[in-house]
Amino acid sequence: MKTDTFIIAAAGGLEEQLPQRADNAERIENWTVDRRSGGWSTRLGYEPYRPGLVGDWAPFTNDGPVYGLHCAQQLAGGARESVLYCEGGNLHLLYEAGSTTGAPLQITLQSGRSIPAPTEAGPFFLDTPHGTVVCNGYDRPVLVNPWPLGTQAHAPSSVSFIIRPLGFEGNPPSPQPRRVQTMPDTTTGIASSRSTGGGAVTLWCLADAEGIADGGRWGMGFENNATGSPGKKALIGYSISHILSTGSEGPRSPITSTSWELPDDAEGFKYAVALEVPTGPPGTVARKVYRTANYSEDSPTPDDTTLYFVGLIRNNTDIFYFDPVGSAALDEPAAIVNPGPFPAPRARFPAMFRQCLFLDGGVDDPYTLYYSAPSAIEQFSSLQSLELGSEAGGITALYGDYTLLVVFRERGIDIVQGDFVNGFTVSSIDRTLQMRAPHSVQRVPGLGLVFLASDGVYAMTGGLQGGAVVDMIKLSQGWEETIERITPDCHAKAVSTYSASSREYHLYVPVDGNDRPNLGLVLHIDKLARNPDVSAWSTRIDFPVGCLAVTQSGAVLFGHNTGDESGNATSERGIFVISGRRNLGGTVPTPDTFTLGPAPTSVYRSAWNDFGDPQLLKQVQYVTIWVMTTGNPEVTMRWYKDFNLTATTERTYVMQPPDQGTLPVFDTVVLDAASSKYRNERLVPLRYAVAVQSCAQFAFEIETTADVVLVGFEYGYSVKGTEVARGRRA
Amino acid sequence: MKHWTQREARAGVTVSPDALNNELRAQQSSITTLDRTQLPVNLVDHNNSELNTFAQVWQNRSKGEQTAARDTKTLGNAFQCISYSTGISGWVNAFGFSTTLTGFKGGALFGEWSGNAFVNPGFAATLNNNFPGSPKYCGFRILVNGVPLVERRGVALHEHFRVVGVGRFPQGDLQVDLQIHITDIDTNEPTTAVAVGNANVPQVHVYSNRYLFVGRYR
Repeated sequence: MKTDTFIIAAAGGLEEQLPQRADNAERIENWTVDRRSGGWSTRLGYEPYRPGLVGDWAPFTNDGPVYGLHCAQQLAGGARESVLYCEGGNLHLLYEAGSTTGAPLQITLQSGRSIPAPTEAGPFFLDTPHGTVVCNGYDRPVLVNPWPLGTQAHAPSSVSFIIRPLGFEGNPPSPQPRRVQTMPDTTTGIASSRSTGGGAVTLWCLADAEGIADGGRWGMGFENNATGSPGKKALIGYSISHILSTGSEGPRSPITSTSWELPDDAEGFKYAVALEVPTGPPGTVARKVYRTANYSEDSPTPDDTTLYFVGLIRNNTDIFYFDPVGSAALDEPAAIVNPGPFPAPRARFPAMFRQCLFLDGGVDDPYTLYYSAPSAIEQFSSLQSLELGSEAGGITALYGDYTLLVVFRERGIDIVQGDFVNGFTVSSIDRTLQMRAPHSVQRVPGLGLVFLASDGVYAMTGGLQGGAVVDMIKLSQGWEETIERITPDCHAKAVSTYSASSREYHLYVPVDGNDRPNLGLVLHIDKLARNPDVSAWSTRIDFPVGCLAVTQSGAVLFGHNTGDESGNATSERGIFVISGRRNLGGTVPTPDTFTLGPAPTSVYRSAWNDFGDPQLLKQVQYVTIWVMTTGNPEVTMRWYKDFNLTATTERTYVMQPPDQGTLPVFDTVVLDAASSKYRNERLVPLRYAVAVQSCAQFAFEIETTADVVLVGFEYGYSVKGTEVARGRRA
Repeated sequence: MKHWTQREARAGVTVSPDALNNELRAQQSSITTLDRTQLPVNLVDHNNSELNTFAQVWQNRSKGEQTAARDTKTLGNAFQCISYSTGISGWVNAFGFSTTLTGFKGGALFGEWSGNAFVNPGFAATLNNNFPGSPKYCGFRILVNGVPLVERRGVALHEHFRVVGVGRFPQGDLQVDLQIHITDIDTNEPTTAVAVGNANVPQVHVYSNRYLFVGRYR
């Protein structure tokens, strides 16, 4: 019988709304894109981060759910790539270079950190040239610079070198000038009694060029007291500030002063001051010394406590500084606005924009944005903040992007423009979207900024310069049912990453009341590029993702969302990699034994196809799926009609060419020069006969745990013109 | 850079060249990236030194002989030193205590360790060794806060040694360990001298040690 054909050259992705595009799939679980054919491939799974069949979970043995994961990149080319992750209130470093046992070392950088509630997002990591900033909304942000470390034995003791609190705690303690004991006076020959003891020092400087060629250049105070008693007084105040390893200068200390008077008839000497300078907190690399001119009543500048920069101590070790600089040589006044202490000690969201570090105020202060000085990420002044209007709710994410800093809020999106010198401005571009999934924000090529809002996945495209327009494009059109399944209060638990190697945007969300991600939504950019009209989304089932990160090479890592909460020592824990290994992880039933998990089950159910007119009954006779010849994997076809989900199962075929000799497969042939050779996979049709009788809507489904590449499909059907029965009478 | 499974060749799956090529390409790409900033080349030449560089020196010219890894059961007229009988392998500290470079201000650290090393066999082939023996070596390594500053194969027989390295370190007191590494035992190795009361044969001894560390800050 002559049949019509309905061809779908490239099988599409997820679509749930009715009626559905015939290209798309009502159900598509555990597929990735095959690069050669552009079709859907089942070659995916996940494996432990430690390659090979590991015999234990070391170093993750006692790890609970991993809720924060980051691959810090310190050098180009992947050198010094460090994996940071959070579980059980700990911030760990996975240190792989120092191991002597094969398993990477787990080095705990910080303990007792806040564990996010089910409604809160995990910690945020931001790579900067000075290390990785880690924020979680409760604990003081820290700066981690995970290099260098020593061997297995030495590394734990080196931890204090690689992590420290971000920013300045407060004002540094004041320097303590030693008292200045002047030279013995000319009449009594003894030092002033008021100046002796207590560590007083006499650091004289010749005041006259007749005494020394450079005379008169150094020293403070007056050089003579020819008028006699009362003596001329020198009153000098000192202050210091610290400079951290990021180049940031902190607040100045309060001023402490020292004073001395010249004895009667003294002449010829000025004095230098010995300063006891306290060392700074970890991360301090230098200290700046500020000083006033002589501000005694006897001086030309009485009561003038203007501070001037007088010297830089280029270390955090020395505890003495000698200041011989004369007041005339003070020329660089200290900044009028004193850099303040760190303003956001409970920041949640860090972002870099226009060389400044932006931070929100944290859970207690969700309407304020603080920003650092440019290229000095720990230097904040009291003037450097932006107050947001409260009508759009608290900040839910920050993303520094192109010419904008995007500020996601509970009920809208703001943007920050400008720069440090001319001032930053904040304005609103949206008051309709509710973005409460801060870890869902990723930049995706060709789309812009992709994020999960409460009503779907959106892309923010364009810009605001050169005539460009910012636009919001909904990417989840057609599968809102899955969006509805997301546990409403746990949007914050959604995690995402973009892999440049697989060209996929991975979004894992908690659905159906779960408190941690249990459904993956993957946007395949390659599919989108090939046919923008069809859906490019697929879903991932049975991937226990707690958090996501991507390595320098583009491999997608995830932290296990259960870990030792499973209550047994055999189940998976720690960090895993989504890869081409066709297993879902594994278990360690006994020490030194690794049992691979099952292969992921991949399901492709086509869209309900009405062949153009649902009220005409169709007789579908063949379904032909176009596949790559992957060998002997077996695929059984099921089909459904008219939304009745009782499937009819058809025959089982292998993925071999139907009308040519079979291709050699692993474990059954010996490759030789004569016949059995390597063969490229071919694109072939597998034609299934189906006996549908009549139907208005038709769908087929294949479900497999084998290696299958599905490229497209076509239907052979006939229409006799019979229409559906009239409606059922009330 | 690590790479994980790209495409698994499983039983029953087509013998496709891609199945092997993808995997091979990934594994061959697993090259540990060399970090050139770790190389000491040129760090101490004139171009990289500034005239006003401030330096700080720690030195000990009489560090003496090794104090750790000493076997007391050696011959009466031999060094008390590493012997195979004490089961030592890998890198071991030559001295019982670490050296602390107090008050390092952060910057470049130049380290030098010199001395003399006796490495057995001094002048004779070992038992049952019918061919000219390969000399054994005593490796030297300077660890600073656990990070190797310099690591060399070292010397053989009975020679003077000197190892030199330069690295950059954060400020604070630095803990320095001087470590040695002896060649592993040969199957025909005589480990004890039967004729003299089963005394253990000395293998490696370092003596007249001295070190010099220069911190340079600018």
